[in-house]
Amino acid sequence: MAIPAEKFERAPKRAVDIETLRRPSLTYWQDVWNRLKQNKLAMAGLFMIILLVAMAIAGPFMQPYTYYEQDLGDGKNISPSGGHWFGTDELGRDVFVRTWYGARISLTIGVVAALIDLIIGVIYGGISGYRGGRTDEVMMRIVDVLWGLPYLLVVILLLVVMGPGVLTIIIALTATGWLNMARLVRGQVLQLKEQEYVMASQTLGASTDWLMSKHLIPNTLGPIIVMLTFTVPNAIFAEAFLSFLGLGVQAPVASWGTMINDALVVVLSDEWWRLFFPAFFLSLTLLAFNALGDGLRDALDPKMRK
Amino acid sequence: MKNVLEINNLHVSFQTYAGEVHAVRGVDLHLEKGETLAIVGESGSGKSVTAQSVMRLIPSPPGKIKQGEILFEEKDLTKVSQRDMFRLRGSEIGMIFQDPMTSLNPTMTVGKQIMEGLKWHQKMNLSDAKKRAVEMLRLVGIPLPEKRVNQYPHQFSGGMRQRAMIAIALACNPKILIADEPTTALDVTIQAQILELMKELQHKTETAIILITHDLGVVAESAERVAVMYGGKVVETGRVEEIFNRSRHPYTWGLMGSMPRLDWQQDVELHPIPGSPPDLFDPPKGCPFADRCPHAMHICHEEMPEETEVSDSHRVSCWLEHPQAPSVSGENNNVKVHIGSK
Amino acid sequence: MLRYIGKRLLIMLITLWLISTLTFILMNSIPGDPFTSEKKLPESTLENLKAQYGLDKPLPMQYVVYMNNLIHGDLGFSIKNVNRSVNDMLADGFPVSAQLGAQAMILAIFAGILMGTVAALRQNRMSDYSLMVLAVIGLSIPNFVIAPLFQKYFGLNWELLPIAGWGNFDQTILPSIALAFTPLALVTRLMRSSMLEVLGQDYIRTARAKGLPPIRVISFHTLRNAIIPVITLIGPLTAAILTGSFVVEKIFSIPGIGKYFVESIINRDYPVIMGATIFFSAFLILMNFLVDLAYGYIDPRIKLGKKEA
Repeated sequence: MAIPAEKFERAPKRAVDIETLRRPSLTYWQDVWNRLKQNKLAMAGLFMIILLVAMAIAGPFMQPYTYYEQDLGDGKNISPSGGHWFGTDELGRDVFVRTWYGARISLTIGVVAALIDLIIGVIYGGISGYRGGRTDEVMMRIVDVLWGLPYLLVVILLLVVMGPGVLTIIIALTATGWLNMARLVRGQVLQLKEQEYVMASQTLGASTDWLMSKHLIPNTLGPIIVMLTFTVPNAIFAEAFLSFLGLGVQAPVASWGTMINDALVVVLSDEWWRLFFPAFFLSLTLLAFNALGDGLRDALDPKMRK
Repeated sequence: MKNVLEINNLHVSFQTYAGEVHAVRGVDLHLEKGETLAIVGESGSGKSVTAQSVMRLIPSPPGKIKQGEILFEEKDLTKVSQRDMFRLRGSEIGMIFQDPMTSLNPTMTVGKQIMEGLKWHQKMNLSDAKKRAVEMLRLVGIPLPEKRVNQYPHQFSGGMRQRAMIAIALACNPKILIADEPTTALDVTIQAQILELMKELQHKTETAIILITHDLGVVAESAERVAVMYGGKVVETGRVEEIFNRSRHPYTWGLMGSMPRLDWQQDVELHPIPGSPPDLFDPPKGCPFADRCPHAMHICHEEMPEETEVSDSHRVSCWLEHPQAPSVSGENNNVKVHIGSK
Repeated sequence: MLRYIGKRLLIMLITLWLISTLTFILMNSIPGDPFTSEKKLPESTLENLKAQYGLDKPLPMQYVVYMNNLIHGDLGFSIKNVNRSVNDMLADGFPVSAQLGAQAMILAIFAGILMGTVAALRQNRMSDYSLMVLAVIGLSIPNFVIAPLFQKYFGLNWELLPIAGWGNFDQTILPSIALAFTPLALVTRLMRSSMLEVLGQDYIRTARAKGLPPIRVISFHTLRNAIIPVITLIGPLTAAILTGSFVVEKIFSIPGIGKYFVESIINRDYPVIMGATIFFSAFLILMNFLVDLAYGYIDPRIKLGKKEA
């Protein structure tokens, strides 16, 4: 086996840079977005949410009716047709306009309730977790006791007292709804305070600002976004549930829950459209948010990273 | 001496989203009856994958044995049926793992976990199996075995759990015991006890042991032969004294240089090996160590060296062995290493 | 252990006291009294009614009487169904609601464990994807949408099962399934992720290294450990089934507590609302307590009162 002698000369030292990774390095959020994009169900959910929001804004203007306008003559119980795309109800109101008007109410309640939960939860949980010690103990005892109260029963009770309406529903839903968020935020803060990489970065002389922006916020934000995504459908569901108990928004205002409740009387007759449209879009909205939330949770979980 | 296990030209790959990882690339090994063979290497060198291939415990998918054979008593373990493999695992080949804290089922008593294999492989009845479990616990040095047999793993300390793991692995008197980093997760004092125990049991049972570790101290303590793995290949293999005192591969020199030793003077520096292991998505066509090797030549980057026989038991794959290569010596080649009492 | 139970019992009592007091305060903060909405009653009748319900006394006095009655298990009288005590209504409705709830719970747990296990064992395959899509759909369709659909198709169009009512077993099938719908989806999802987590554990590898056949590895090592988290879900599931029963009992005309409760809300029958709320709360709190105890009993790692993991 003849090998040319020059092959046995010392090869120049190849620069082996440990820091050079073969895969392009991505920021945390780019990585999350890439993973989310691969989840078809979650992306379909995101797309549906955008579509539903657009329709909630535009839908009521797409037909020349209002949600409260009645037609007790020939306009009652018309099946879906060119004139009334989703038909009319027993008072001759246009179901299409009411459905999208209802979407506004439901989405507003869902989003506002989720935001209020977020604000209270972040402040309460943040203080509790950050302060720690005695403050934390007292604040968490309060949460524990309130936690023992059955959520929907308290909401029902509050609404019985305050009377129905969009605002009262939001108040009732958030009265104990923030507990979840507060617990989550506190847990995150507490855990992060003790995490080794935070300690590592402190010993390396990282400033508090650096710590907050590079470690605490990105790592707490993930689970909070996920919980937020799940709070919206829960609030929307709760509103529909309360409407079903007669505690929802009052006529003539339409919400999906009240429309479904009104339509239950006729479910066994032929006027299927009165139940179908609000029920379908309610379920679709819940599905879209749940699918997006699932996708986000998976995408944010670093354990999924291969 | 007869070989109880022979691995020839084993290739194992993992299919991942980023491509195929060639974890093991043509490994040849053999294990003699009653001996301890240590497989050394840093993480990612393919040592654990090789061991798991013997047990056919590679998660599949994504893992797959692509090529090669694993001969155990004339049977090729890469080809035997699932059913036959179930019969072999645990009864002929036992295995213990790195982390005793997580390797035992938390909701089953330790005794039941020992008895399971006995009932399944040896069709023992309950009371015999229980007697044997107590006996095994006593054998591995757990005090009050009659009481311990009914306890759950969380009632055991780390060292005790590893003892229990050994009891499980040896319950059916296997011919081979594969120990995958058995002491890495344990305290140093406990490490010594576990190694001592394994050696003692080996004398009693004549079980051959494959010891996977990255700790050369453990190797010196308990092995007769060593295989050094790097980048999915065995780069050097030989008897312990050959590897420790007369090693020929620059990577082995590097390993020795990065190991702290008690008998060194204080001014002797540790020499970590610069760089990181090769990317096994796209393994280099030459010697896997060439990029980090202080003696690398042009040829090293271009072709994989042939295996050279240094002695009957000592083989090395390195271009420096080639007659045309310049002569070099490892920094630690002449350091005499004290080999643990045999 | 005993100390832990004692501590938990104390917290339970505090929570119960809190909910009863909260209920009392809220109900008394409603403007006017329960009789103002009625047609104008003669002044004397009104006085009599108020006296009969103890509403003529000052508020603190009313509170003492109310708490005293509660301690003795007396929840007062309905305003709309005169002479019917809340206790009677609850006693009438409870067996019905309990049967319905138990059937739904059993269905949800067993089917959920089965489906979740199948999905986990076929991870990333077609059956896994279909089951998970089904589960998220199940989670998203409210039971007040499912229930009428069941009535329409299984009851009316295909005439397979009775549309409504209560009495024989046939009549319990549709409402039980409707009630189990969301809980089933929850159990399936939890069971799947729990199974996957356990399957990745080192001790499963140990079990396989022992040479046990897959069926034994799955049943003795994986399932047993994977089911434990499902037990913690029983608390929230009870709450979901309880609130779900309001809807399902109303839609299927089932004479359970849920139906009475919904009617009392619609009729503003305050004593019934109060009594039922307290009863439901007590039930849920007790269930959570029992679940915690069972959890500590089943998982040997958990020493009640000591663990903080």
